[in-house]
Amino acid sequence: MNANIAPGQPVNVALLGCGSVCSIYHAPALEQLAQSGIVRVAGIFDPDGEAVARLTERFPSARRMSLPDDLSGMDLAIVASPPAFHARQSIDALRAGVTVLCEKPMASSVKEGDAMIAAAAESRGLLAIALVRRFLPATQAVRSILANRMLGELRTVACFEGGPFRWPARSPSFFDRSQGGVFLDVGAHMLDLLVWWLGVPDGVDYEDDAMGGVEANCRFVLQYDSGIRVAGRLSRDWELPNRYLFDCAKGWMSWMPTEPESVQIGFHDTSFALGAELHDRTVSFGRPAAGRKSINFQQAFILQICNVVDAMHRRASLVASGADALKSLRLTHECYRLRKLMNMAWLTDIESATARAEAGRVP
Amino acid sequence: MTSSRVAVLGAGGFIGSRVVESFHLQGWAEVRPIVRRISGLARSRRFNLDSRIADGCDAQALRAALAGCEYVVHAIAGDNATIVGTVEPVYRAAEHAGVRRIVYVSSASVHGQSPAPGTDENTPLREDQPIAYNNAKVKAERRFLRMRENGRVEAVMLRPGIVYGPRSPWIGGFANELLTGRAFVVEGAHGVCNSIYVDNVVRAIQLALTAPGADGHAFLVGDEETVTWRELYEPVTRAFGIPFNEIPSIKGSVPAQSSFERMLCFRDSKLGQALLPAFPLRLRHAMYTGLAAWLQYPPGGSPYVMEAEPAPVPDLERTLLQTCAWKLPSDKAKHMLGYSPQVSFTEGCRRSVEWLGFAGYPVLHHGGG
Repeated sequence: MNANIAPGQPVNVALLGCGSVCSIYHAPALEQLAQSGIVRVAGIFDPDGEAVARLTERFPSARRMSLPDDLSGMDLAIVASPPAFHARQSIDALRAGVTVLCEKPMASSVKEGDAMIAAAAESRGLLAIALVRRFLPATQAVRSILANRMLGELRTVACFEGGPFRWPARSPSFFDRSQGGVFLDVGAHMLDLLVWWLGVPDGVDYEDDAMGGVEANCRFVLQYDSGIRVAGRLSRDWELPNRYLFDCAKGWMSWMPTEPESVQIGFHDTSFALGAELHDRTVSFGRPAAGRKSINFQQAFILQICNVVDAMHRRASLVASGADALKSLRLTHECYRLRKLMNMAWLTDIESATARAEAGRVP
Repeated sequence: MTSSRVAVLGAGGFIGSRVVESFHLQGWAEVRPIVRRISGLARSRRFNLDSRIADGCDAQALRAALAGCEYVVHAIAGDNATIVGTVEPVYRAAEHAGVRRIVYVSSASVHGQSPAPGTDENTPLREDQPIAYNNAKVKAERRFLRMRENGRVEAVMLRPGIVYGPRSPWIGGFANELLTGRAFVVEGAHGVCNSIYVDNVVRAIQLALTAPGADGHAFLVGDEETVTWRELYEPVTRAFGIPFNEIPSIKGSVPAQSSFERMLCFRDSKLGQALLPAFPLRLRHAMYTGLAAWLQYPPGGSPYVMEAEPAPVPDLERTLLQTCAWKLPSDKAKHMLGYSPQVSFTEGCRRSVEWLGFAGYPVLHHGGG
């Protein structure tokens, strides 16, 4: 079906879900792409009429969709609804012959993720997952440096992400158990990057602080047969430097999600470190050179949609397909299956006993 | 008390979140966490609790949030306008909801950061203190008392001093300073630290909610021990393997305002507020950032300079706190509320350091002793 889209014609996009991720990230990217004639936002769906109205102001020619599967005339559906709806809406779109770009986490369960991939295969459609960090030059640089062992063999990775929760969530349901906590939320990005860089681990360990609700803190360890050990920590509670630190045989490398356009590199035998700002590669006087500054985080959202459009036109393959995302989703749920309660040494004995009981009880 | 419903306003904050955690896990009461915005639910939604969203300045939203609650803990933090501005809406909503008593988490700062020897709850409060936060807390307490005079809901004020423990800025903030090489103390940190471990605050709140005869009173609450700031900080430095003596100790002073601070004062003054709207926003922003940069890095300096970290300059608050000479008494709380600190200072420090490890800090040595 996607092959029917004529090159040069804008792709008709349906926005399913008008929450914060849509208004903050997808909508501005679509506005830019619409000005360039690459896409046209043709339909908008959200059960919240006010949210639809706000978005319709930005895309006046879009029709208000009465139902999320009201997809006639659409080429691409961007599924940005709460995760509990990702599978249903993606599958309906794929069956209707519409390409899907689904927000992360791709689904609430592995079973749902499998069903989404099966639907894509049956309909021969495209299922992309919005793992936008794969489009950042910094994460690509990390991947390349590790794959080519530029700093020698990788030994350990230590990563921390989070801080006091500031995302402008529009509904308390953001914290429902079905949506998972920080691990399913920001952890979707962290695990995807780790699996993308290092592959699927051979062993995992996981603990969090959910006591009948959703976790605000979690800690995990990924172990690889090669000896690589990854220690991850996520928090919606307390801020430490958001950082991925790679310790290799010859030196170290660091990437900060808050500074997505740069990496830091140090060598074990020098007293200095490189604070490297990333630039596009260019040619000057016939020689390779650093050109203009590489894309920023917001531009990655534009690139993400462009990649899907290119894939629809068979000009590129998806950078983050459903099958790619399923690997980290499986890992997420394996961690949840193994979950233990974090040791909170400040709790009294009575509090600890209740905490353990509540942690084992899923409402 | 387990059948009573207690609303905790400011449930996402340092003290509020521990109140929710402790009351719920102890089974002491049915807790209803209330936060200003959805993002504030992150801590309380670790539990399966009936959480609500209500801005402390929004009486209507508060009415709905407080419905069915017998008691309210007001632990809302925020800027000075929020501190003062939440009193009336909270009180009126509590009255509408039929709440019996509000416990307001005020602060020992109402007496200043370095109270004079002999200071206790009978010491008159002032609204012209050099630190605006103190004045806001004084105003908030006075508003509560005025509301109480004409209202039906009982009001009790608690004045904890330096509240430390898991998620405390005094612990985590100092750890951040240590690990980024920015830590310093004033005059050896030998001043009295009017410390109170967060669980002792929670205990005081618990007692203040139901103690007979407490209505309309304010209570200073603190740890049992008299300790110095050095004693509070040392377990943190030890946790990271940093000898306390390596932390720069500087002379305390009441610092003069910098040019930048004077500019900020003008911006916030009545004249500044009257004049500034006449200029376009972009121009104001450009002037502000440009002037700030120029004042901090004036041009014309020689490039031949020895690399050196700028010497730290203590702010007024830190100077006063770390040169404090008076341990505020908890006698009134002991007599009227039956307050007795349940966690010792040593144990409080140990738990604080354990939390640093939990939060992801590179702790080498656990234990506060």
